[in-house]
Amino acid sequence: MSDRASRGETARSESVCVSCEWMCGVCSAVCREDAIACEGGGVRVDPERCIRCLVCVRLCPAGILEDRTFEGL
Amino acid sequence: MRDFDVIVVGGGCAGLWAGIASARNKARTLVVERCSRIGEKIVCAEGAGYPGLKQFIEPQAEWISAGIERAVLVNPEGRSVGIRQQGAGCVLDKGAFLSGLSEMAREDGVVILTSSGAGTVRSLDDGGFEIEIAGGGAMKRMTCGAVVGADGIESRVGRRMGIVDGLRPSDVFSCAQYRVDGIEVNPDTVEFHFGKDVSPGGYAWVFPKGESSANVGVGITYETKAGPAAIEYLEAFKRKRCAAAEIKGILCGGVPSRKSPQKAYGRGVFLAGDAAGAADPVSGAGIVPGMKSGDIAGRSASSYALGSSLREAEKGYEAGGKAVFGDRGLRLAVRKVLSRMSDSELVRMLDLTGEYASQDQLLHGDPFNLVKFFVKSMPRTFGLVRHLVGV
Repeated sequence: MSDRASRGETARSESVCVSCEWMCGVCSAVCREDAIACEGGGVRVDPERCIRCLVCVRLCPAGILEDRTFEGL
Repeated sequence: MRDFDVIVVGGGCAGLWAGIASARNKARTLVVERCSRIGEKIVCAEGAGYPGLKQFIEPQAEWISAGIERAVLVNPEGRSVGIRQQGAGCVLDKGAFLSGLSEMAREDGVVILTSSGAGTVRSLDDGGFEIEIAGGGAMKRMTCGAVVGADGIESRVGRRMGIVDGLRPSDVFSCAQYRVDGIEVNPDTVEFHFGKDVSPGGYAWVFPKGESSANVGVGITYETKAGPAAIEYLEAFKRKRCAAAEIKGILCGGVPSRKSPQKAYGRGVFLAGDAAGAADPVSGAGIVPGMKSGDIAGRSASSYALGSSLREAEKGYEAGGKAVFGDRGLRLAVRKVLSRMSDSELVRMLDLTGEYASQDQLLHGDPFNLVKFFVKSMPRTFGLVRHLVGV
């Protein structure tokens, strides 16, 4: 199992996807680069847009997103 | 002919009220909601003030979990101050409330489609819109004359149409909430707990839902959040406040507020509720501000769809919003001062609340009035002015 898979993350195409049961949209709402979409039971981060400001990590109420989620971007 | 005059995206309290306002303005109105039923997904502490609610609707007994007449503020050292106000408000059963609103909307002629997510919104050459609506494994395209975006904190409609950008991180409360049973509460009292250990930059709450159940939550802010997520603060707060209570449900979400919700419009699209950032920046209350912004958006959208000029409809939205949200800049500043106060400053402020409790007629149960009262009374004592730097 890859490191990312062991953290519950799966790579889909070039995006980073993290499963999230809450889908509250806070991460997407505070992303000024429009790099995050909450859909289909997960949070999808577009590596082309993400600038790793990590505002989404600091405001994720459930602690689903972590600094290391973005390590590979 | 267009499919509808107005399409409202989102079936929460802002969207449903926008639909009602639009239909009452004689517009053929559709509300689309991505959940399988109205009220299925509730991300809310469910508190609402009666004066605000009654501007729109007479609350029905079956919508109310608990009537609230008292607020208790607990300082970081554990001392509490009570503020009593008869008929202040209630903790709603929001599922029942939204169900009631949807019945009202249908009676007013609003068509409500559930399990229907809105996709791309495209402007048409005739000034109207085409919206992709996905549901039941199929995609439909529907046309309308104006759109209300009441699609929550993400404000997808608003962002896709270039009306709003992502929220500034300092304008969001990051929140987590448990619904618990077996908690000792006074069913007519809401509790607010302050302090960096409890809920840095925000507050923790206990909103009763009956004799022994409650919504227990925390809201923290970006500026002071250094490590743990809101849900971790919530777990710590539960251990402290009601360790033995049984968790019946968990919610995570955010409370957004924008500096200028009255400017959340463009090209025939009008935003409402969390999509417009209508929630009160100080208290985080969103139900009544959501209905107010829904009312303004619904009336403006229907007016445009039925033949008013775009400028006229936008002016109506802006004027209505200014009347409702005109003090928004000041309220955001107050919220930021509160979020930057040290525990010792919070202790002093809340202790003084006790000393001045006899003047609670000044407070009217509104945290904003409470803060105004202190800033006006004792600005030097608190040295709060320094917290305004950079606001």
